Amino acid sequence: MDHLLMARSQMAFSLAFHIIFAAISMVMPFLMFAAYRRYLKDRDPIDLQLTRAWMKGSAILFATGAVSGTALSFQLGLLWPGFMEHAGPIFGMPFSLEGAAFFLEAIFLGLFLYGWGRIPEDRHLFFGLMVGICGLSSGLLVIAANGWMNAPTGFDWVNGQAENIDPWKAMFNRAWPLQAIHMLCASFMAVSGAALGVHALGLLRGKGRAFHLRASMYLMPCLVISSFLMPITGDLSAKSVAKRQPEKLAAMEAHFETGTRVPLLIGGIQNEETGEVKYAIRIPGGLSFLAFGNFNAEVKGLDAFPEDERPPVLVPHIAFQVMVGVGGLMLMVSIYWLVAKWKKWDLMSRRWWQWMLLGFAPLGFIALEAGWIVTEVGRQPWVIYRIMRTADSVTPVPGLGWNFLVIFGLYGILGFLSFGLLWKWFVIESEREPES
Amino acid sequence: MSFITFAFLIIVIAVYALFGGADFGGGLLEATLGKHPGLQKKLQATLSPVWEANHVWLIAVIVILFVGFPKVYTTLCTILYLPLSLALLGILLRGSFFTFRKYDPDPGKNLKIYDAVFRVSSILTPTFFGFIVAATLAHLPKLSTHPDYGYADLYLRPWFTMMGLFCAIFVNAVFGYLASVFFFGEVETDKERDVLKSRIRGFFIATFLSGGGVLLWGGYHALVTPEKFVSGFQVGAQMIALGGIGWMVHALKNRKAWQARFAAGLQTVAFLTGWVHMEYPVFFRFDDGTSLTVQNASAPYITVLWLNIGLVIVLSLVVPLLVYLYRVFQGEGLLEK
Repeated sequence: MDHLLMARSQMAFSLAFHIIFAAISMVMPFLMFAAYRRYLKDRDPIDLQLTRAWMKGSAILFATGAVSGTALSFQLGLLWPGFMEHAGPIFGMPFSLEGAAFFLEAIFLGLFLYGWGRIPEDRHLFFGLMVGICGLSSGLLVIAANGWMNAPTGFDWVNGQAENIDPWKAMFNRAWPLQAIHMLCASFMAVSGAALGVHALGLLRGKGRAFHLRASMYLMPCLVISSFLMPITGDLSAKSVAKRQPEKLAAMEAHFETGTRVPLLIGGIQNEETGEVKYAIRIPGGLSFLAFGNFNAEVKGLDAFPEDERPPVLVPHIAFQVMVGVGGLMLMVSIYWLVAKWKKWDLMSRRWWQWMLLGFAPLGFIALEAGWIVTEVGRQPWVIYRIMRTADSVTPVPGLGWNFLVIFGLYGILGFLSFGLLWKWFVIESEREPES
Repeated sequence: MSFITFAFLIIVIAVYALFGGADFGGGLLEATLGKHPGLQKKLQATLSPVWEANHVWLIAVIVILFVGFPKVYTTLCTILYLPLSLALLGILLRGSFFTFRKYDPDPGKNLKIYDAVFRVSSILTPTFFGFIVAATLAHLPKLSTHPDYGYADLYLRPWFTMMGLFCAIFVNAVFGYLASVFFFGEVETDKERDVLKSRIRGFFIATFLSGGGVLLWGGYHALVTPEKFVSGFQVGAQMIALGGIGWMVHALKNRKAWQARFAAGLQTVAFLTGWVHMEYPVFFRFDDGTSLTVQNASAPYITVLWLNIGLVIVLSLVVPLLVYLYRVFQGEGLLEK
């Protein structure tokens, strides 16, 4: 594998690994807070049991997220020194604030985890909420930095140097708000979907029924709300990408030739050489409408861009389809659940529903990863869109393969151990009698 | 303006050396307490609520570097990528295995693995920090000017030196010393206190010998600037670092845990201040005679200005909360049910 591809693969793998834990620490503390709040109100021991179970999950996964996040702050420089040397002073603002949010999150988590019986209950509850708020802020701030890579602003690029830097303008770049809100919904969907799957497994195992049913009462509304918001934020994101990064939209949609009344392709296999897409379902004018709200609008194809500035098509196109497909599936699950609620069916007790939730558990995370693949691969060959090429920012240090091997093995072990521990606790908590 | 950022950087490094350092040293101390499983358990319980907060200071160091002094950060990440990656490996393993050990409801055979990885990685990271510190004294090759250099010339020789080895031992010894002193106030019986006193003594001797090694070797090989090496400031700082042991002995004898902690903190900060004074304003020197300094490696004014404002706000939020965190959990015998 060539040097650049090796560096990109290592970065992709590290980010893909970290993002799972990051998404969980953006969402899990809120679930923990909701259960604890209700416990303090009603004093139902099942809510306390849930609080503690989700708290343990947060603690174990927070540690892995924290170390892999620390690793990323090194890896940015280890793999992309050319990028960091120029970008650091421009997009440092969100990174600094992210560091601060992460710091506060670590403190509040320490206070929440070990504060039982030592801190007054209402203050303890408040610390639990703060864990969530800080975790969420830290995630959203990192997205500001990524948004800047997609919509670089707040500086003038003169002879390969940044001048007239405005850190605030860089932070509040045009890509940030939609990327942030889309990721926020995606995280809630992925985490609530995965947790529902785990609790469905608990129901299938036949132990701790009341515990798992209560869990689903918190999780199902999260899934429903987020899966309804996903297509809305997704649509707004696509419109924003169409304006800001038309070649990314073209790659996502495997759209090769500029034209009007461009169809939306569902599925299909493309040939990047000839620009043909076979076996796709075509919705006439669909892409024009999706991108500009007008069935006859012109949409730029990849042919509108110089060959050395086009992103790859295969990967973003497949990833985009996967993301949209999963989103659609989750929406259907949510609609069915709402119908069942209205008709007063007891869905959670039905085996097929439990099996289905279990089967769907990883889907939200698959969509989340796919979405990031669209964003990152779709921006290639640029690391800073239309400013700096990824190839120009890669480290000169040879032998990246060894680093990758170590990271790959290490993250494999960390992932295995983290989720292995979660499973152990899951079995224990499922079989425990609620205590008051 | 960049001087203020530099001052923040040094303050954050000092805090990381004290708290993160004591945390790393906790792993080393744990490894020396094989015959005292009760103390090992108590040490783990003391570290549990604070270890994450102790290590976030490192993120602060990294962020200040790449926002405020980006060239220093990228030099660190290229020529010194090997010790940096190995330090990172230690950080990854240490944090995660500490948590796994803590949260495994039935560790069984895994306990030995958890222990071993945690302890070894507690030494690994400070060791490579030591090598990196030594490299700030060396003359690093400039990547673009040496087409004839091989891998070892560029990426191994600049930091894998005798001076590096002295620094590595020194950093570990200081961290072990800090951990033993900080932990002293958490134990209850005279027997336990005696065990810790012997550790404090051992780590102090190791610190003294390796620190002496660092200064003598550095002085002999002209790695440290001679006039600054014997300047009044430098000598004064090292005298405080050394003389602090008198206060320490007094505090330990009278069981004044907080005094002992302050004494150890003072010693560490004094040594660090002396070192920084000796090196200021240089971060790294290159073999073509140029160097990266606080002035020439600084980010543009506006970035540095906002970074400083941000740091003031962040620290004024973080510090009171940290004090609260340490106070809630201090001296309670944190053994969980």
